[in-house]
Amino acid sequence: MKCNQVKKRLSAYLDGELTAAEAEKVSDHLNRCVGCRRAAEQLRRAYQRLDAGDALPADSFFLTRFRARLSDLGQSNARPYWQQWLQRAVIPATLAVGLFLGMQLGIHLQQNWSGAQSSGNTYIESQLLSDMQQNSLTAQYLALNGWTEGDDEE
Amino acid sequence: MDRELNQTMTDEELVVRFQGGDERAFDELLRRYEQKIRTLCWRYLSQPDDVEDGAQETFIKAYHGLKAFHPQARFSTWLYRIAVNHCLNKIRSQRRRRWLQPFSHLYRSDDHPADSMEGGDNDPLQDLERQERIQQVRLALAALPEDQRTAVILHRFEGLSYQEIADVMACSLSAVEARLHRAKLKLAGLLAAYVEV
Ligand SMILES: [Zn+2]
Repeated sequence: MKCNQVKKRLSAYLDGELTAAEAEKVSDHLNRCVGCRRAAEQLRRAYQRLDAGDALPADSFFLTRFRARLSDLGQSNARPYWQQWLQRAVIPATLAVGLFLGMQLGIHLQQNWSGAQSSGNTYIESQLLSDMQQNSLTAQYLALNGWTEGDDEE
Repeated sequence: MDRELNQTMTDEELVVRFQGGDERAFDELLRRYEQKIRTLCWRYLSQPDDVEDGAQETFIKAYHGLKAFHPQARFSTWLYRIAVNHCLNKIRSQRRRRWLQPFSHLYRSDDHPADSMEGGDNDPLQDLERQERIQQVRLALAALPEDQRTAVILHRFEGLSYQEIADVMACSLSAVEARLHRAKLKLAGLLAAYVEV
């Protein structure tokens, strides 16, 4: 076995997870190779530093709390069917209504906008024309000098 | 059913009894595993409330899922998988929330004081050292990728074999070996800075 092959299997070797034949091969190599022996020692120490002794103590009231929680959940599951349905339906229904209204608004705006574009131009033009006719410079000049038709008494 | 009789039964026998409608069989399963599951959750989650919640949720899920459980799988493996999945989901959702609120951690301590642990009436200096050591191990574990971390927790702390870990993590035996090996190499670097043996 070569060093890099041995190193890959060192963890399993140290954890006693290799077959007897595999373990013997690794063990033979470690007896001959200082580098791999050192690597094995490093791994072993690092793992030992993870103290396995720390654990939470047993809690005899955990069962009581579990039973209480279970019966609480039982009550919430027993809610009237229409309430559960409503809760599940509220969000999708709101989204659907929102989407529908949004589409309607979009269609409405689109129609008005294109209507304004097709008819609006002629409307604006006629407005401008009538303004010009009523407020032409000549007409305003005549009005200022009192020469408009209706006021002429001479 | 007699409590004494309960205690001599295997997990799988208790499962069958529970499936047959005996509620107290589940109580016995919970008694057998509450400490292990609570400790497992404590390895992952720092807040005591989250630990309690994680363990409770694990048993609630087990209670409801056990009806469909097939006795050819080991009960303990199945239970560990529920607990690990719960904890990983919890961590992921916490990470997402932390990402959304990048400064919230500044106002909240993540340290678990481990005050509910055994041996609290020791000499205070020793206690402090112990707290520090626990915290260092916690930090080192947290620095590992999820799959390596789970492999280490199940192997080193829960004492599961490679095959059992493969069953919990739903992966191959060689994947477990590789994960544990990479984890140990990383831990060697991380813990060397903290503690001198
Ligand atoms: Zn070598």
